[in-house]
Amino acid sequence: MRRGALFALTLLTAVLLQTTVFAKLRILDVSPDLLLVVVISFALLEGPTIGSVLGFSGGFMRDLLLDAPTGLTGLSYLLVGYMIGVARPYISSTTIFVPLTGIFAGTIVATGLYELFQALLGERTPSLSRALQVVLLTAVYNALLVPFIYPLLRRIVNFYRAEKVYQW
Amino acid sequence: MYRRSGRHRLALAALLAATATVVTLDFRQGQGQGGPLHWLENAAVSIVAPLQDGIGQVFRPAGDFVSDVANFGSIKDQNEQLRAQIEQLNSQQRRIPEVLRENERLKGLLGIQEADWTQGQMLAARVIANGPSNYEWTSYLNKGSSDGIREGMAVVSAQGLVGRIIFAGGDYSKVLLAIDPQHAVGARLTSSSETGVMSGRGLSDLSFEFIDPEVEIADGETVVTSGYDKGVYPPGIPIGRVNDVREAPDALSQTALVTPVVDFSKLDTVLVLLDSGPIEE
Repeated sequence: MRRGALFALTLLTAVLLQTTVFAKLRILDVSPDLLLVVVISFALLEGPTIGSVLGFSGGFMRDLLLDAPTGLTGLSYLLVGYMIGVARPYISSTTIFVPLTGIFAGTIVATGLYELFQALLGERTPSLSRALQVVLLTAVYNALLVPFIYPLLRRIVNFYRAEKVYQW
Repeated sequence: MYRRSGRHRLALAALLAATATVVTLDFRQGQGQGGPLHWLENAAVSIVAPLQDGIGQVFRPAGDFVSDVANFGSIKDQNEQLRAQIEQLNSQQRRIPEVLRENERLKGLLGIQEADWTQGQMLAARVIANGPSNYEWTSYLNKGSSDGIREGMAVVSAQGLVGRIIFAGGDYSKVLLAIDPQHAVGARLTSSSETGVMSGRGLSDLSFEFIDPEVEIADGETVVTSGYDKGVYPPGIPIGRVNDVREAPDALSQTALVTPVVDFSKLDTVLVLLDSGPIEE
């Protein structure tokens, strides 16, 4: 219960920081996507179920603040949260390169999926060059956030994991 | 292991079903005001906006600083352009009193009573946050329907056109900025009175399209709202200055690139024109 509240609070904080601070950091007309960094980080740390639930919740929260069809961000984030969570047990390394690669690749997939869903629904369809610009730059910016965000989220998850009671 | 992956798949299936429900509800609801999602949207904005307001005030100076550092190159160019513009405007300003007198005299002779957008009712509002997407350019204001704001109203700053209200919650509202690709406004060249459609292109210059190919457009010419949008925007609001002119491939029209007069990366206080907005039929 407390973990659930903590996840919800983390997502809300990410949305707030995204709309107030990160939305201003538009370099080459693209800003990082903090919410996606949080979703993928939790998927890497907690597995596919938490990854997909947080992807759906965070994406839905973001959708409610957008002038776009509701549900598309939720769908793309939940799919990426699930995929990253499923892939995690097959990676044995524990270095920073795992979240770095995961968040870079996950951002490309999530942003690409969102653009695809929008195109399928005939909504805002940016030019191919703009779409590629957004996908690649968001992935690079998100990867640059990893050294700051991922260790913080890992610490939060570990703190609550230590309190968990196991039944044999 | 199998039981675990089965649980993961079950969760995924449930979430996919929930997403399908949300997308369907959104489509059935359409652009109207009713529906559960509109209610949720209103609730989300009401919860998030006060927090955004607080966080925005704390982080704004730091955010502005980082944004300035990131855009240092363009700021330097902009500074040079602005200096040149000041020189030009100073020389033009000296002619204003004389032009105004002549304008008044001619209007009097012709019996014209033109609507002036600066004379209408205005409401000052503060920009508290920006949209979270890289595909849309929107901002949140700290005033909403309880202050008299409704969807479709024009928003301006001291420099010129900012955009229009697309969502009016109780105490907060959302503006679609003029640089958003979904935003289009009827515009007019000040010298020739030639009209066209001005569309946003993100942080690049605005695109002023469907201009008669015969019309000569001077560099730096001011473009204002035409006021032909069924009353959405009053006429005469400055939008930008012509930066470049391109002939369309079909040669039936020409397109001008227009630099907005408003600096959208530094929006702070704006004015909502309470007398504007679509005319209800």
